[in-house]
Amino acid sequence: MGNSKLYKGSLTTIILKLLTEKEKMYGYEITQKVKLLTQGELNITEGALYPALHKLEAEGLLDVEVIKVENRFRKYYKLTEKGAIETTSKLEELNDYIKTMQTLISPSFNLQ
Amino acid sequence: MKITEQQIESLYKFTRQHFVEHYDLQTELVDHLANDIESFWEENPNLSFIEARDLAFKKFGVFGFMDVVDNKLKAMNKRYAIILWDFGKEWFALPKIGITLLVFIVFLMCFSSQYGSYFIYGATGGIAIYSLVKFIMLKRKLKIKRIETGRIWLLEDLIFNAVAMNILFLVIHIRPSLEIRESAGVISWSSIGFALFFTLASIYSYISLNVLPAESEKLLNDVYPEYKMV
Repeated sequence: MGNSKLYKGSLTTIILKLLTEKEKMYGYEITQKVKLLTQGELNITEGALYPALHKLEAEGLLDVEVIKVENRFRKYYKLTEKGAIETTSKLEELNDYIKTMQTLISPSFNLQ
Repeated sequence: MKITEQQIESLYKFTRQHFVEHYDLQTELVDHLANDIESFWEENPNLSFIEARDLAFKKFGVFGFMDVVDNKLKAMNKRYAIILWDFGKEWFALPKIGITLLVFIVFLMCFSSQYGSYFIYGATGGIAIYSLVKFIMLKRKLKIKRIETGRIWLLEDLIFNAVAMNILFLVIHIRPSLEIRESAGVISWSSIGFALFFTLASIYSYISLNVLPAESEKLLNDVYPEYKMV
C-alpha cells in the first residue's frame, strides 16, 4: 500500500486480530504474516510494530513469553483476557468505520 | 544458512552501538535482525553477514532504533507508574491507612504550630537528604550489578533512578511554603494542603526509594520472563 497513513491507525487492531488466530506470535513473525495475508500490499514497518507491541504490553492487553530458540531468545506476545475483550471492541469499531467509509465512497452517495 | 553464536554476540554489540542500552530491548531486536538476516540468506546465500545485517537494519528507517527505544521508554514508564500505583494503593486501605492518617496528623500538627514554616523546611530538607543518600546507594548498587552481569534492564534502570522525580516534587513546593507563615498557630487550608502534600510525598519516597528497589528482583522476574534464563 502506497499510503501508509491509511492503515496506521489500524495497526493495533491488526496485531490484536492476528493474536486471536494464533496463540502467540513474535515481532518478525507478525510482519511476515501481514505481508503474506495481504500478498505484499501491506508492509508493517519495524519502526512502527515494536512501539505498538510495547504499548499494548504496558497497557496489559498483551502478555509475553520468552523462549530460547537455537542460539537466541525469542519474545512471544499473546493476548491477555483484557486484550481479548479489547480486540472484540476494536474490531467492531473498525467494522463500523469501514461501513461508514463505504457509505461515503459508494456510487449511490450523493451530496445533493 | 543459520546465524552463529558469535554473530548473535556481534548483533548485541551492534544494537549497543545504535543506542539501545537495555538488554531486554536488545534481545528482541537481535532476534528480529537475526530472523531477517536468515531470510535474506535464503534468497541470496552469497550475502555477507554485514551486508545482510545492514539491509535488515535499513528497514527500521532513517532514525534506526531511536523510535523503538523512545517508545519503549514511554511504555515502560507507564508500566512503572502502574506498579507504583499498585504499591501506593495499599497505603489507602486497611491496615496501612492507619499509618497514613497518623503521618498526616503529625504533619498537620507540626505545620499548624507557630513554627509551621520551619517544620516545612525541616521536612523538605529531610526528604531531600534522604533522597540524596538513597540515590547514591542505589546508583552504586546498580553500577556493581551492571559490572557483575554486564547488562541492564530498562525497568531496573527506572527503579534505581527514581530519585529524580523526588527532587522535582520538592522543588515545586519550596516557594509556596513561605505563605504558611501568615497563618501560623492555626489549622488553615494551607497547613492542611502542606500536610497532605508531605504525606503523599513521604509515601511516594518510601515506595520508590525503598519498596521497589527491595522488590526489584521479583518485579524483574514478573516483567521479564527471560530474566532468570540469562
